[in-house]
Amino acid sequence: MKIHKVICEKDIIKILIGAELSDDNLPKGNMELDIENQSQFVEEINDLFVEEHIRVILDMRYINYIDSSGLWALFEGYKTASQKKGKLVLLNPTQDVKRVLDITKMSSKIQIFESEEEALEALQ
Amino acid sequence: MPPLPLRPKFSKRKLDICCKSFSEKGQSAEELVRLLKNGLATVFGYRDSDIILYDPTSTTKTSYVHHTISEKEIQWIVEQTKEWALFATADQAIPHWYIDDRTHWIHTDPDQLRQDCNHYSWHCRDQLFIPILSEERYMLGLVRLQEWADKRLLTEKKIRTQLPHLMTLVHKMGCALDNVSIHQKIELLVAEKHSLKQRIQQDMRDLDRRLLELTVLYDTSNALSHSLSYSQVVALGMEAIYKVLKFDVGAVFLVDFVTGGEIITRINTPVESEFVKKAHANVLAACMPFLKRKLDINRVRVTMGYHIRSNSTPSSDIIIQSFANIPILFKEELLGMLNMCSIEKTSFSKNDLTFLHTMANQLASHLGRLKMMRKIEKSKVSALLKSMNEGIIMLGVESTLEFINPAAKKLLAYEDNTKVLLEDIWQTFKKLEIETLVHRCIQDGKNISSYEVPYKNQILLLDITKVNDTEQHKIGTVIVLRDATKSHHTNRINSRRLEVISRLNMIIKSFSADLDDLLTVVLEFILGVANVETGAIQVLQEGVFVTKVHSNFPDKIFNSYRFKNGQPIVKYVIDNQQLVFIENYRNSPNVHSYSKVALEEYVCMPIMAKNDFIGIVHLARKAEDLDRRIAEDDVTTIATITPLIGTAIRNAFLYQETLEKQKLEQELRVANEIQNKLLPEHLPQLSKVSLGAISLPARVIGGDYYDFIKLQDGNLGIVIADIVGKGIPAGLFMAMLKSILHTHLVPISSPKQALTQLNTLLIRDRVISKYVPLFYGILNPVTNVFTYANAGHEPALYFSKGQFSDLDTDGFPLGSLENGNYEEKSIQLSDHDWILLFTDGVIEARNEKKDSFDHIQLKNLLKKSSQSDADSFVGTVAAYFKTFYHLSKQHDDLTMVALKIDVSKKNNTPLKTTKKTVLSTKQAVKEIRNLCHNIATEMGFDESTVFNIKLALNEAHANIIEHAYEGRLDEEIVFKFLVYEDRLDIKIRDFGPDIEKKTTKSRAEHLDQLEGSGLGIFLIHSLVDKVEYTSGISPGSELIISKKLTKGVQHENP
Repeated sequence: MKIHKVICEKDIIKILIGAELSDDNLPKGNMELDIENQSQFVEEINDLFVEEHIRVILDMRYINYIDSSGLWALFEGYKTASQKKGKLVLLNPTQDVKRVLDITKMSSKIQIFESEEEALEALQ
Repeated sequence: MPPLPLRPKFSKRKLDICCKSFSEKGQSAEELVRLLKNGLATVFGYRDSDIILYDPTSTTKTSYVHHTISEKEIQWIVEQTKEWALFATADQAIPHWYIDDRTHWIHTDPDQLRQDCNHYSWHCRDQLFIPILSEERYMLGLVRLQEWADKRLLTEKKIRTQLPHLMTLVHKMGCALDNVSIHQKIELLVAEKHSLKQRIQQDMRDLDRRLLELTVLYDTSNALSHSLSYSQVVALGMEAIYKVLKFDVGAVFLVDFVTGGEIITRINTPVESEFVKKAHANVLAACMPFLKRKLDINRVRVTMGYHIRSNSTPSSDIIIQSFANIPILFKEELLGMLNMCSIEKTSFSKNDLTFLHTMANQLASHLGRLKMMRKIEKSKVSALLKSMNEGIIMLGVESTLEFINPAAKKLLAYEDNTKVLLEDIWQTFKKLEIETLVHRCIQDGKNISSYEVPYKNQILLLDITKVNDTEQHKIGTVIVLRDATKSHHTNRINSRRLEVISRLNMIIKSFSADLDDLLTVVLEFILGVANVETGAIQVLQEGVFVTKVHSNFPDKIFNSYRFKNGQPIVKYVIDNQQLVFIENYRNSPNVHSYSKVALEEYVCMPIMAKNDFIGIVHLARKAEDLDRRIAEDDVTTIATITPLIGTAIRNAFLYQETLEKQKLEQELRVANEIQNKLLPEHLPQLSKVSLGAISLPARVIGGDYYDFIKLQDGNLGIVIADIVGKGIPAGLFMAMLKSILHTHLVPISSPKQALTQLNTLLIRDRVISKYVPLFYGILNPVTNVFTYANAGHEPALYFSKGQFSDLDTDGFPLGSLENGNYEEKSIQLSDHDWILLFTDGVIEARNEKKDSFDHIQLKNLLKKSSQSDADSFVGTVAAYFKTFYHLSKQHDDLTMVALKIDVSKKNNTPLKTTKKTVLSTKQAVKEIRNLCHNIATEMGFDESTVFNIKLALNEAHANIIEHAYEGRLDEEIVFKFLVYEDRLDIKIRDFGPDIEKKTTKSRAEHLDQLEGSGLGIFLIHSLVDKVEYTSGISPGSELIISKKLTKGVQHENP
């Protein structure tokens, strides 16, 4: 799992996760967020909160599979951000992942966007 | 008697003028009284009026009275007026009181009256009182009318006609008076307020100043008590004074802290240097009278403590307007002088001077403290220096000799009690050839440490260090001398030893792989260290010390060196684990003189690795090498490095062992893989028969084998065999057997024929010289007839209607006799009949608790599970053995094939079964998920359904890892993917304790209620069609998830 963090506007941070790094050092390649790597993911997210980055866009485009541990990781991230008076939103989840988010009613809690502009606006 | 003046005729005009005059001219009460009197006289002709004015805000009254009037009379009027005012309405006319006969009025003082009567020779007995009221009807005064001078009576009748005008006049006057008094009050108040304000401002200024002084004093005294340098003390003091006084230039002269004195200056306003010089002259002049000696102004050090930076050039006409000099005294000793100059102020105020004195006292006490500390330190230091082992020479700033301690005298070989002069020391330095070096150091202030100089059979180490005081001023140079003769020698040896160790370390690192190579190099190295040519290294191998390498020193030679009692020296070393070093061998009284080669010296030392004795080093110098000697230091050096050699030898051994072990493990792994690949991957699927098979190899790979062969006539051949032998050879043989079986058995429909042909093949093959016990049965899946033949294998077990019997025929194992004489028998199977084929490992199992498993246990197990299908039964057997062998070693392979006739099974036959066993690690989750992906995709599920199945399976799997096994990584989970025509069943079997019911039931519907595994369970239930959970299967539980395959139009899940 490769994670790329970039500060978009003010203190809004965007996270892109992929299987590997491309030549321009950006993550790419589909990956599965599951019981095996969710703790790594949680650590990365928590690092953000420790650094007081509490407005987070999580770019999900390369996550083509997610299980309940992965969902919990997202939900925990969302809760922590909210407790810190921040916000965590999801960007561009794949169709299957979106379906799981719907089934588990996670999408009624965490906001999901299809364009970065909308996500940024929601975090202003 | 003069005629009485005529009473003036009343004129309205006159009255108006009078009334107007009150507001125009009445600037004060006196003026108003005068105007009223005038009015009364001119308008009405009353010349004898008495007027009393009251200040309504105070009790004072002013009387303009010319005739007697008693207090009682006044009091009565006042009360009457007040009483009237209390009840009078706004438009009620102002009252008046006419007293017609005072002689009978109780308030009149008769004496007074008499006095007046006498004075005027007239008895005036009536009087009229009119109160003077303000517009708001406050009583401002009263008017009394009498006519003493005119010797007339007022008479009530006369008054009545005049009264309204009279009242008007008095009333107007009252109003004017009211205005005047209000004006006066206001003016008075304004004036008072003004003066009060000024007083407050002054007080505030005083308070601020006092507060500033106190704060500054408090802060400064705190900081002062922590400061340890006099310049800091002075800086703090000046800063404090500046905060309070805002002086322009300040200078503090300190008498004794630096030789010759020091002036520390603080400049707050840019001034010319002349100005500063004047300030300095001032302070020095102020000091002169107090000092016992004359000050050399040129030697006074001048320090700028603080200098304001300014871009503008100071104007040259700035002069000192005023200055103050305050002495700094500590215990009647003058420590210095404080000088403050001001350009603005013409003089320092009393407050300023008081504060300066306070600060001077503060400075004095802290400077005094520092001075005393210095004295104490100095005496401590000199006591310390005297007692030091190192030689210490201290030179002053101008290279004066300040101090030399006894140790230094001794080192430089001076007589102990002679006085050493500076010249003597320089003389010595010259002798040591370090004169210029020391000079340079003193001048440059550069430190020198550990400079070695040989001097009179000793080696001196020289340190030269400049010494600064706390203010970083140089106050001298210290030269430290040490005798390094001994340590010089030890250092040389230590450094050689370190070098030897590090070189040996390098050698060991680069040769760790091969022991012989390593020892050859090590021996060469040790010989080099000891400077000899003969030596050997022995290593303990399997209880004996073997000579691994030697240089002209084989064991038959060194074994010949013996002690006098005949014991070989090497034997002594082995027994005592002690180093033996014999110098001058030929003449040593302890050793046997006979030897093969004459030796001068012989060293025999043990090699230890931790506490184990693992080798011996021999070093010898032959008699012909006369010019060499083994130095004792070198022996010690070698002794210190032997543990390194020991460790290296041990590591080399370990390395070899590891290599061998790795080879063995590799072999095992290969054999295991071969065996796994030889066993059938899937069970054959029959419509009315359920089949199951397990093979549990022991840790050392064995030769158990089973197989299903689809015969030409549509029947199913079932083989079980137990190949003698283990490991790769057995595996290879099994591979061959499998290929023979599959090539030759397919067309043969009789087990007897099949075994006979196999036997012939094996007998003829010279390469294979093995006996193979083998049981072969053929099932006709239509008629359910089972025909079988046994070649010396464990008989099969038949279970029908509660009865057990063996299925067996005579015959030797395959490959043992030319003519096997195999037989065959048949049996008609009915619904629910069982046949078990198994190797002897199954019924001869023993564990470490000495429990055994035999026919009886097997039968009981089958009886209990006879309702399940064959696959589940072998699963139960496998679970049973898992518990049975818990922590024990399984010593034989366990293999079993189960067959059950199950007519009702019809629709329940999977097209394909894939079984996969994994350990309970998180990594396996992905592996299983990928396997599931392939199976489901192949079945024709659409992408999103595949995703759903994967996720449900994933959640079940994770649930087992986290809850059933609680995170243990070495437990097994068995997955079975059953592919049916219309659905996919996945059986997930674990062997852990029961998962609590609640974790497997979907109750929570809302996200917030889903805790821990709840979300996973919720997902499983949401994503697949059927979830079945069976717990308490000795031990463990099984979860079956099922997904229907809808052909044709695929529906998107919600």
